[in-house]
Amino acid sequence: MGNRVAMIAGGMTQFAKARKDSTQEELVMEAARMALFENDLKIDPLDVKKMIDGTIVSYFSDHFERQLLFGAIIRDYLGFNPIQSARIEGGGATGGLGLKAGYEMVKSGDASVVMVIGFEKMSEVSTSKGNEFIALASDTDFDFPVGGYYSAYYAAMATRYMYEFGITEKQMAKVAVKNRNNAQYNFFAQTNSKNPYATKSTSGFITIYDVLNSPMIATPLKRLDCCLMSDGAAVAILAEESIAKELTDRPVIIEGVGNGTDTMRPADRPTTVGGLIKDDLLLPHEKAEWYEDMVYPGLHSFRAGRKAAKMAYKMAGITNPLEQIDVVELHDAYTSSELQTYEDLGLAKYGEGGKLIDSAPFDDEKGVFKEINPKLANRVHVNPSGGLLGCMHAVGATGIMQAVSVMWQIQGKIEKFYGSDKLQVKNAKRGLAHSHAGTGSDVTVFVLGRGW
Amino acid sequence: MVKMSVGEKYVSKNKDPLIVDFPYSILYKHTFGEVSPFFVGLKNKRLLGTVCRNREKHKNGKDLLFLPPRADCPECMAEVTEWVDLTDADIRIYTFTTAYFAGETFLDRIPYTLINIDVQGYDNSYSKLTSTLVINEPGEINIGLKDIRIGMKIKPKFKDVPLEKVDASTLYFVPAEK
Repeated sequence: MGNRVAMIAGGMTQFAKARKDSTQEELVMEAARMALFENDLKIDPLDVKKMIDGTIVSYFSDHFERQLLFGAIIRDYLGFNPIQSARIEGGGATGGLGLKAGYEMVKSGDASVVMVIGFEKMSEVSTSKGNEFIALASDTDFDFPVGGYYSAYYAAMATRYMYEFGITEKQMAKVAVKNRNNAQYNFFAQTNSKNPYATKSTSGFITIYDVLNSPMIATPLKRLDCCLMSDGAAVAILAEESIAKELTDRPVIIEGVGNGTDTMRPADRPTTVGGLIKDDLLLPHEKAEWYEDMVYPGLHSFRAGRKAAKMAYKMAGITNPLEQIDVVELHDAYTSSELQTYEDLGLAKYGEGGKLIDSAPFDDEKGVFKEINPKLANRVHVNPSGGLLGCMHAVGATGIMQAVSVMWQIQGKIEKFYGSDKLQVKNAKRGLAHSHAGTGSDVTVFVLGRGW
Repeated sequence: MVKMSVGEKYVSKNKDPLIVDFPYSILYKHTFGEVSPFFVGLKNKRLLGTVCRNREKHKNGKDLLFLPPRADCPECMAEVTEWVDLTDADIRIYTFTTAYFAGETFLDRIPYTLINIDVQGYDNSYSKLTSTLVINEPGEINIGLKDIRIGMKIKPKFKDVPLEKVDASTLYFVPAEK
């Protein structure tokens, strides 16, 4: 099936609630320059740039900046005319889908080196208007007009998730503590107090008490259970494997790619008894008897995430994700959805996402984990970057930020880029990047592995 | 010399950007197409759904109730023409949340409760319509926010609005039990 595709370089901006210092295209340039000039490429970065024969521009909303065809501005600004390019959009999974499109460009032979460019600038409208724009990515005939918005959709799902499986608000709050406190060691992160663009009142370390006492957004989700809104950009460079090896000593192979989908409206998610088995979504390490009586996906699980994982695992030869994956960057739009995603990815049995977060040693008195970037199940690190809760959610850039973070983990370059080795997963050989849209309408999963 | 991370090296030097106002507004003339009867139903104080009875062609072997209504069945691809009146059906809460924050249009209504409904007597795969629950409607059963629960019985109510202003928010629910 031809040669494999590798990630060779990445870059990202400082993320912030508002980056008024720069336009969108200037932010993209910041990330693109970093990708070309800072990733220890073996030949002159401008010669690498000349080898790029395809770009993908990935951004979510035309509303945030009132600019259609933004991709044309970006390609022009970066000097990529007249080579081929396409704009990719898929809600919150825009970045992951963009990366998949770049992968496909290389895999098909249409290009040999591709720059995948993700960006979003969400600060030019008020936070409530921004929430409304995001809510326009829900059904505008039936869900948005009744007062629907994303935190509320996820909150209603979390209510049902707690009801089905006995998950607690405390378990959810722990996710926020883990990710937000990780972000304090990632210089790019929006909540990192050292980030010069950070809003001081909403940055710094937090405890479980901060989360539980933060203002209610939509029951049971409180402000610190909800992800950030950000300005920023992230860029990844992909190359066909043999070219990748000429350009870097540490190519990271895309070993598995998966994509799944589900209904736009949560209202229309099937509530089929044994639905997981009927949809052929059992993973190799799972037993059918676990799920024969379980309603699936209902409003408690993300079937698209499971489908994407199953596809990526099959391609990468993953038979037990918890044993074979060292580091995961997943789409923690809400604390509840991180727990739900553990289950979709097969890191925990369905219903046991709460147990997985409880497996990391926690100081109940101080309300924090005993370590930064704790291992779950004594095995896997999830969202060392800080994720969407601690690092950023500049929608079109998010999936790319996650994949680049996993790449730097595998390359052992976290200290170089984040400015601290605290989040470097020692000897990380294989990682997973998960990108997710809507209430689970589109999900991508990438399995990335050491290629040297 | 202090070692600088790549991130630190790339911090922008611009401290003085110019920021200007940029207004924008639009009116859409939107059609509800073949499910228009649902919205006309709301105006007439009726809750209508559509049903596809090709159960042998459906994944779960059951008749499918569509609420939100659909004019076409996603499973058997048949046109769906049968409307059922659910105004007096036994309807329960499938899940819920009380919102204390919202998009700009709804900020003046907070706190409000969003629900997904569960129509008894039908498979609920395609019929967990999102709506709102009003817990303090004069003349109806009044409850506290803490009394709202999964499985609780509710009933539909309808706002009086002119036909050209009807949308999904014309429908709301109130408790049908304490």
